Amino acid sequence: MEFNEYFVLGCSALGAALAVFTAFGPSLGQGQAAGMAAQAVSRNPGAVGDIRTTMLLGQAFSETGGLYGLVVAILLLIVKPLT
Amino acid sequence: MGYNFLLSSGGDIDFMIKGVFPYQLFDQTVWITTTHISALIVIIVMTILCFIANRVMKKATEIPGNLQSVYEIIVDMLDNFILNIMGARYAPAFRNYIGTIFIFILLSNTSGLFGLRNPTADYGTTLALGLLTFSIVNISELIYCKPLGYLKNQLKPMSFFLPLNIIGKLAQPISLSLRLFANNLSGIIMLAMIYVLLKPIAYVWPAFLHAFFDMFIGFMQSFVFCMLSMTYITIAVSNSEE
Repeated sequence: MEFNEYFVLGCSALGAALAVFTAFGPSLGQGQAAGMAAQAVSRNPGAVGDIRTTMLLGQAFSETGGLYGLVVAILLLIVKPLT
Repeated sequence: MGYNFLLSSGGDIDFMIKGVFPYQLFDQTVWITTTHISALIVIIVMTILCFIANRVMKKATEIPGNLQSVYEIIVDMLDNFILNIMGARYAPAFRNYIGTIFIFILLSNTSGLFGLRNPTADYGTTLALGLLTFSIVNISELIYCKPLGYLKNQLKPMSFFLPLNIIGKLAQPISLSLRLFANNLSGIIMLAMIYVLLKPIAYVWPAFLHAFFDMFIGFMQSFVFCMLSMTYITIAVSNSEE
């Protein structure tokens, strides 16, 4: 088997697909956070502002992991450090 | 630069940063890129808005006119937003910085609507913003806690937490800048994909995607960036209270 440039390119495309798959975790977490926020609002409608701020902050933090995966995928596809 | 995974459809739209013209600086070739130009346009728009605000506010009336009430609503909103998160003790010291950076990021993110390439979709811009917040956090901690208190804060809660605290400090600008960068870049790539791959049917309906990616995500990300900056600053500064 020959390990030429195209083989590495194909493998980095596969790696990029796997890296983007990290979005799985953060989206589950964000959905859960939004659901919990909806419950909290239904229990205490007066605290909508605080609940929204806390939810957005938590979601922004949990999104970071997925975004790192996206950055890795973009680096693999566009900068192509391995070829 | 290779973007040939998009070229298979024969489109000519791409999302890469392009150099416009080179110049020599200390024997190095430096490029003025599309990011610089769109950032400059955003800054010019901000300056013009500031001049208009200055002229409107000079002849402010008791019952505000149209423009005056728009500006008052914006300033009031920003003030309340900052006051809610930082508290009355620290809000007045930092609202200039947070407000400026909020307006700059918001205009940069929505500049994609006007055909510019977002300045915030370049890692150079977002890293600069992240480092700005990083230095503000550390300098204000130095000022509020005094140098000795700053060193003591790094040893909290126990002395062997020092490496962890240093890593946590260094991770702040990286995570802030990467979050903003990746969100904007993903929007740009999504739209470029649609314009290239669905070229025959890409009429009118991408406008809604522009509204989502540029306006909603853009507003959200500038909000989140400012909120995280304020949280970091408040945590660093409130160590001085004990």
